[in-house]
Amino acid sequence: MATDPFVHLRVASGYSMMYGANQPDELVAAAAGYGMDALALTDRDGLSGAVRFVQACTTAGIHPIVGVDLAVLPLDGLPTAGRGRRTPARGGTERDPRLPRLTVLARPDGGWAALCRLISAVHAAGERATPIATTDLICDHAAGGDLVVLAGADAEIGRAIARKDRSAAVRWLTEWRRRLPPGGFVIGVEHHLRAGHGPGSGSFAARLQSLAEAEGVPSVLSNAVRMTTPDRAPVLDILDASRRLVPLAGHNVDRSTAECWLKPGVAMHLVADDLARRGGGDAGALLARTRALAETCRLDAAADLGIGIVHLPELGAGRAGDNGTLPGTATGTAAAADAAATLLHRCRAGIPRRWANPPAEVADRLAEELAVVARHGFETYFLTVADIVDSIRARGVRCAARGSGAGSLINYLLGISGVDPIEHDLVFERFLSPLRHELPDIDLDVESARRPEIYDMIIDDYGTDRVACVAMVETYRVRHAVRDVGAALSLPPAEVDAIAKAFPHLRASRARSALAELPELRAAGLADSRLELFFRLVEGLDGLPRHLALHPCGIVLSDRTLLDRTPVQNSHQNYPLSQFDKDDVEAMGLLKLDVLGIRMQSAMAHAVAEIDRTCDERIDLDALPHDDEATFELVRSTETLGCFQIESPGQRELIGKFAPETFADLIIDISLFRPGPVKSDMVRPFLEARQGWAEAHYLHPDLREVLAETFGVVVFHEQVMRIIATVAGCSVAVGDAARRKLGTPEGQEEVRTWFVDRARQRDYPEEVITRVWQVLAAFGSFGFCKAHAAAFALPTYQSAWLKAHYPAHFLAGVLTHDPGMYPKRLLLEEARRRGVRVLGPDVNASDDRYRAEALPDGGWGLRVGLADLLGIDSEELARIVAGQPFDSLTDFWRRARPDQPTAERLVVAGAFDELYGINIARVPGRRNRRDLMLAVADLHRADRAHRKAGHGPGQPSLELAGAAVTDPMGFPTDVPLSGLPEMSDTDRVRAELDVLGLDISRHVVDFHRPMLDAIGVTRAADLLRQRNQSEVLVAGVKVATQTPPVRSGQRVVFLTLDDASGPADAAFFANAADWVGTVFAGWLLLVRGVVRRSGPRGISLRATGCWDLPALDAIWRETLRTGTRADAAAAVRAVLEGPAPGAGEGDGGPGVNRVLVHASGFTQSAYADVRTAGSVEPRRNLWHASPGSSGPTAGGGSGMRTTGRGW
Amino acid sequence: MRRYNEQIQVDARRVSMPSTAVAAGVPTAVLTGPPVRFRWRGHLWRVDEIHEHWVSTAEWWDSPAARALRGEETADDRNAPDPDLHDSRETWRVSAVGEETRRGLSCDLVHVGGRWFLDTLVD
Repeated sequence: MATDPFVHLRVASGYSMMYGANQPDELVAAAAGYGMDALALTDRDGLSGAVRFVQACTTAGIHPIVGVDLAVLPLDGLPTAGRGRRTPARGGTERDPRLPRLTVLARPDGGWAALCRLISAVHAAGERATPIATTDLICDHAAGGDLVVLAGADAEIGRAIARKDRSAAVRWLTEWRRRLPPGGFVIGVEHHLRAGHGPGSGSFAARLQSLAEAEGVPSVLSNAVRMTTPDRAPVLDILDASRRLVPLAGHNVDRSTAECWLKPGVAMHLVADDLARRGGGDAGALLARTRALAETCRLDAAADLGIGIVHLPELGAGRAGDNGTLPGTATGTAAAADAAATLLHRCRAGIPRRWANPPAEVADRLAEELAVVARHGFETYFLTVADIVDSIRARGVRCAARGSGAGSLINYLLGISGVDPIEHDLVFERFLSPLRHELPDIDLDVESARRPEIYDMIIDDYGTDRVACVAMVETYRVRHAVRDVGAALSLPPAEVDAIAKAFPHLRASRARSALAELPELRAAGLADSRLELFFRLVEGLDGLPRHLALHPCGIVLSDRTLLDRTPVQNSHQNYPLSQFDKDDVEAMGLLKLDVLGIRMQSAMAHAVAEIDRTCDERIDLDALPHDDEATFELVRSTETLGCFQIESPGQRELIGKFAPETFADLIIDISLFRPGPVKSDMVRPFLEARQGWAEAHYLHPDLREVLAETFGVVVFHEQVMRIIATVAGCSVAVGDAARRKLGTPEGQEEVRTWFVDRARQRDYPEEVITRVWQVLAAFGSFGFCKAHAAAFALPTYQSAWLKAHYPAHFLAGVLTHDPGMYPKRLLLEEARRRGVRVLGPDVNASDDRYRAEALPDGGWGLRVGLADLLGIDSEELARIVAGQPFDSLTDFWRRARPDQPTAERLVVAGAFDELYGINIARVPGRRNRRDLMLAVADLHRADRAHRKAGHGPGQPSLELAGAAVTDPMGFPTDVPLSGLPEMSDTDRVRAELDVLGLDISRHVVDFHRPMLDAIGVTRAADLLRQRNQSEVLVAGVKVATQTPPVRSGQRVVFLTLDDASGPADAAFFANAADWVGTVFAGWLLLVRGVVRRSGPRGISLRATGCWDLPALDAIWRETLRTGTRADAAAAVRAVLEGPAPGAGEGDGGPGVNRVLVHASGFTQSAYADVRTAGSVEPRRNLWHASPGSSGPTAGGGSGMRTTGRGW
Repeated sequence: MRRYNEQIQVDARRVSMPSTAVAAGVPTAVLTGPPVRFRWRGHLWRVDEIHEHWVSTAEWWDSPAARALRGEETADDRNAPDPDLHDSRETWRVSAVGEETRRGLSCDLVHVGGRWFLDTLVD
């Protein structure tokens, strides 16, 4: 292989945040392709691209060099000499002061740590997001000789040269050389073949080079690289304009030529020659110095970055606090022995807490697990997580572990996980393998409402020198790319906005293929050939980082060397933020703890608190026995709305067929509802065997034990591990290693060869081997970790238990914390169905939450809180709660001091109905909502007049009437009677939907009931009585749409409607695609479909049409004005006979059915589970649409919505 | 200075992307070495000295395609070819000597889009 001795020492990747146009691995691939043996990455302001860069270098077999490119406050101070042009941006602030910059390279040994510390210091000193270094900061960190400062054309010296101020240039050189150790200061000459004499020109480069030579400062040749190849130049321009928030123009882009690419050595020789020709010294010597500097800066992934080595917190670090000292901690082997002893002691102490009579296996299993932990030296990992869990619980915050950690007895004994791994036969090796020296993953679910408190607690306990939050790199996807390209090209903002919103959430690189494949985009005119350039640019931005954000749940913990390993900056929320993302952190061997805010945990905490408040009963959810029959009855009834994991339409259909009876059934149920089982057709054989309709079938008698729990069907990762272990005759750990390789085609091939060979040696018949292998290959890496499912089954069971026994309290929690997939109005409907009375908002009874209320008749009511009232702010809410009770509207107005709109909305939402007896009976002389509305306006007017008259706010103004005066029934009489009629029921419901997003008084569909009855619409509750394959109409409010990955690889849209009698589910397959636009655009919908029965309680519709209900209603009313009901019904039916609105539009018909094919052969629509094009955003969140992530669930929503991170 | 803008044949120093990069599937770019000889109006000229060498790129955001996006396209634009957005125009200002004539000549040789032009004669 040809070698290229040139080394690029100044290279910006996309991780320079909207400055470089390529990914680090693309740059590495190019350099390696040229035959270079080393490459630098010197991103702006940080190292967030450095770990993946170093890993890519290691893979490519070239030496990594790492540095950072920093804005530096000029020695002369601000304002800078230079072009002097301000760059005003939106809002008039200066977005980019174009400060001079310096590159700082790390040398081996201490360089990486010095670089990390320097970057953290620079970020700490500057304003957030605009880090600016000072000479002092750089020189202080470079004093140890571990850093090299490289000054290029954009350094302060460049500005002196540009204005031909040689003495200033010499002064600057002298100052820096004096302040840095020998060899710590180098001039980097850049020659971008620009015309003229400015930076980037040959003339400029030659002057810089000769000045360095004259002053005896070593110089090297760099190319200030921003892209791999020159064709990426337009991307750079878009990035420059977007970073500065300015339109594209010559003075707004940084490059003047397209030469700043990763040129091969031959091209850099040409540059050096050109420089030499201009009197810029000897080309050969310049290139030799460049190589020599590169050779002294080569880093080693393990020795310098610590990649492949684990850095755990010290024993007892959690009590270190801010001072960072650990009283009495030992070091080295003594510390390891301490940690092992402590862990053993704590585990043993946990045994009697978990079992009165511990199972016989406990001692052996614990010894085995501890041995593996000891081999890896991970004792402090477990102790740290246990400490954190203890501290969380000590604060009264609910906490549950998720993930494979539930497979560990140690975790169970330490209280980290709450599922008995012995009872449920969970495998430790899935969590921590003796074969891989990799930190296991423990994720903690805490109450979402109190998660910030937990973050603060961990940071306080461990100190900022050991803790940082994990970063998440926000990258360009199609919508952002459309917006930035549009703004840079000065397209009309409204048009850009429309284009951006037309796209589903896709990778930017898929923009043009989406145009070809999605009819709704073509219908919007986006396939116009004039937009070709636009979408080429959009695709060019694909995947480039935009900024670093706080990862929604990741925290990194280490020992006191953390800040030698990662640079830290301040997040927007003011948390210390590592510049590394979760992959980087893992590679760097740092303990990453995911602390997820789970709304369901908050909802359950609220329910338990409500039970305590209203029933004086203390419930310990974590101590519930897992065999409550009422709970399983509720699950089997499929009335599981609001329950964790089992509330989605798909899950309700599944539990209807499955009928879970035990906690173990719940574990299986959760695992079955995944893409793996769905695609491998495991669900049907499982259910058939389970219901006794078919014999359980086993691949081989040896596998009976492994597969008995699931009737021969492979559901769990753990079963795959054991099948491999059984048939190939290896340990479960080796089985797990093989399982992990099944995810890629190459891995599958590797495992297949090995597996088949081993199985033959063990004399399994050829056809058994083939069949077992087929199952393993089909299973791929999909399946589900049983331990994870068991961990999830816990909140599933707990939430179902609460719903079965305390529906009002449970739904109060669910409505307050909104954890699930359904809109609140549907949950109110659910409360009514379960016999809970819905109590409207009341100024004297409601506060900021939904509450359970005991009713005089012994039943329970659910009081709607005020927090959902449109436009109410937390201070108003606090004043209302503090001021309760109020004896009249006037009293309320004076003491709660609401905004006029808030007061009006409270009136129309019925919050004064109780106070004024509005709902008791409509008798003459009784005030109604309209009277109160007028009174609010009067009060507001009176206040204004009062203030104009010079009185301050808060002083009482004139009163409407004697506030304390009441009529004979005891209702206040401060509000005058206007004589206006009360609002109609329709108006009331409309108003309620408008201001609360809830229909409290009646269900919205009721208003259309006459028409629905006339055209023969079936109620959802009656669907079960319909014959299979019959065609029906259903109508209702859209409560959810989902586009899950399904077995066929086609795009299927699932729609759930609610019509007060219950939910109705309809599926739109490819042949009903023309109706999908209506599904996404509408809210009240009428659906025609064919009944599909799937089990005793399983029913859904295959949709054959969908219409907007208000549109049909308009036709109904219009016809009724002149005709009879029969005429009107006929007119509506005529519409239902017509074609779909989208049919025949667009040029390519339904387009190519694009599918993603996974390694296991699973095909999936490329548009599955992504938000759909053209959907109209609701004014209020009245329905659910599955989020943009294509997470691991087969049906999306599952009651585990986390704050920030969808699963 | 006289504009000619005549396409000519030029022998340039041969520089090419490393074959290993091509083999590795790494995106590559076109490299141009300095001109050595050229044929213009039937005569062969040998480049004697390079005086200047610079590159310029088009402001592609003002290209016909970009103007069309903003709805600002003109009648001419519709017929104009759509150049690559990053096309560089590389200019060498050289003095050359006629192989037969021994006459001296100063000119700007331009390499753009894979073709060479004798752009201007410099006095």
